[in-house]
Amino acid sequence: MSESFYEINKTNIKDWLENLLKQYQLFGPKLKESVLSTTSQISEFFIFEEIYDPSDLRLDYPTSILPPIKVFFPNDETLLSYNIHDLHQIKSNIQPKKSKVMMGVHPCDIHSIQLMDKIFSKDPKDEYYLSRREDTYIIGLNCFSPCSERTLCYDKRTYRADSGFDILLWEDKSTYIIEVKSNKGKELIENQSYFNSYKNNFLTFQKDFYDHQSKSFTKHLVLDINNLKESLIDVYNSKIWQDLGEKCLSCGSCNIVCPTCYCFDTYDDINLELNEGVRCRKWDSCQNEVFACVGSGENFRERSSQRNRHRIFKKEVYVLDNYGESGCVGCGRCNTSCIANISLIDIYNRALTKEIY
Amino acid sequence: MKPKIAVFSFTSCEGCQLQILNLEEELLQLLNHIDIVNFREAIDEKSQDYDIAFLEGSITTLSEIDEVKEIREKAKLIIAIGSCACLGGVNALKNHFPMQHCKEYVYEEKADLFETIPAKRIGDIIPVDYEIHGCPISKKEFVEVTKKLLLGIPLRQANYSVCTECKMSGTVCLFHKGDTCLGSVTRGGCEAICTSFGEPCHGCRGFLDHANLKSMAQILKEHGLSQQDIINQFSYFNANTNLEGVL
Repeated sequence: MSESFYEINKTNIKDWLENLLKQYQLFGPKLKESVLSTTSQISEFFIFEEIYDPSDLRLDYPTSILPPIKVFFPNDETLLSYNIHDLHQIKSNIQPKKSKVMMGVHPCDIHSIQLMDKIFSKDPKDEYYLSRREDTYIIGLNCFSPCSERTLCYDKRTYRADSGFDILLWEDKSTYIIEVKSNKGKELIENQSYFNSYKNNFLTFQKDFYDHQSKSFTKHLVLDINNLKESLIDVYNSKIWQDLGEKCLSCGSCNIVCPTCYCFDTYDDINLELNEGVRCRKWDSCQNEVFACVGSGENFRERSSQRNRHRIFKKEVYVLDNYGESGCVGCGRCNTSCIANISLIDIYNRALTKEIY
Repeated sequence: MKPKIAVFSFTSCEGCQLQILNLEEELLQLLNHIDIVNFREAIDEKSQDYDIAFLEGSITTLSEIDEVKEIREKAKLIIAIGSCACLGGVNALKNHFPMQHCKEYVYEEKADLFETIPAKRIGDIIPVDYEIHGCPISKKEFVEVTKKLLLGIPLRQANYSVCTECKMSGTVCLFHKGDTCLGSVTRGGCEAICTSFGEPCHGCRGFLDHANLKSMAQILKEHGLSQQDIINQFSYFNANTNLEGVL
């Protein structure tokens, strides 16, 4: 299907959501907490969660604490159940399919979903992720300006998305322009009176939007990002990692908020009758001291410096080698969550410039 | 035969054994697999024949040292429960003062009638097989540990931070709200119960193995805490931690 363009007044978004809720499970950004700072400024923090009430949806959100990917890969899930006395009877806990709409996904997160699709589709396929991911409609939301100074989306060209969504919303004053990208996207706006065909020239609008973006988004890396992998390999044995190891608290926050971290730990839970159990998986972090600890007690990344290096190499070398794209979409969540102020921007610039101070 | 369980209390608020009683219906189900034979807060029976002993509280008198050694002789397994038993807990705050001062502060003119020694963790006196951290312990974790003991599944101490679970719950970081918190250097497993309700972590489950307290102290300093504030924060539940080279 060729692309088509519509328009919806912001005041009608609620009607649209009400209509979607009749048929789909709806996920989107909503306010978690607003905080009054000592200087009387209000800061708002958002989460990407299931929306039950259309008035909860906040499309003006800068970013969410946890990424939308959590919908397909929850932080703690039951994989299978079994009877202790008859291990031939193992029941898989793959969830029945449910049509869902992911509303207001920013371009960086769209890129992350595309990458996670590749990772979880690689053999052996992860049916738990894929069954949740199936039958999902993605409504993207373009960013007019960056959500913070800590993102790398402009350097990584992930501040825009050309694919990976069914509909893309472009904010235009009191309306959203709706770019319908797929037949699935078309289904979501059919037979509803508040969508009008976009009568102006979309390319003109798009050019203005892009012009604004190139002014509001800034490059944070001092040298060409295409040299990043080689530069990192060059500094594998440098002092950068010791410096990070001294600052890092090994708290794991950077991994937990990351939209492309997919590591998990498994554990069993047995019932009180001590006859039936479930096997579950829970997100894990490669910054935790015991992450690379194996049965014999050997720990392959005992020191924080080794774990810090591993995180960066995983993102910019190993995932790139295995999936053809960087494992970091530049969303900046890790940088924001780090109370020790460890920032990918600094690390990458140090590696690129070989400034190993 | 069902394993015989005993619960003993040393210097503490007795809140951890209360958590066991708070299990209510789950406790009744557990009783299909265990016999409780000594548990002052719950039953009259005081059998000295037991397999697994759960010990709460820190050791703060010479007589407690003898008692705890005696329990070690009798029990096959010793499980320390709660901050006092596992870390010394808030009781260990007194270790920063002369013992005579502590006695006089509490008992005033009757001070000399009482003995007291610096608060120690159970593990400082006798070998402990496992520690269930927390102030108080989590009921869920108590059940988990008991089930694993019954099934012979090896126990694995959490060595990830409170932040890990706090972030998983989608909680706004207390540092982003202008507050401070010890979650990033504190042992998790609590499901971030305090921070997800907006209360900073004070470290009741102890610090992570090899916690980077030096960097944590620097961060707290950058957030306006004085050296004494930092010592106070670190000492709340972990007064027995050696802070040499940290500040």
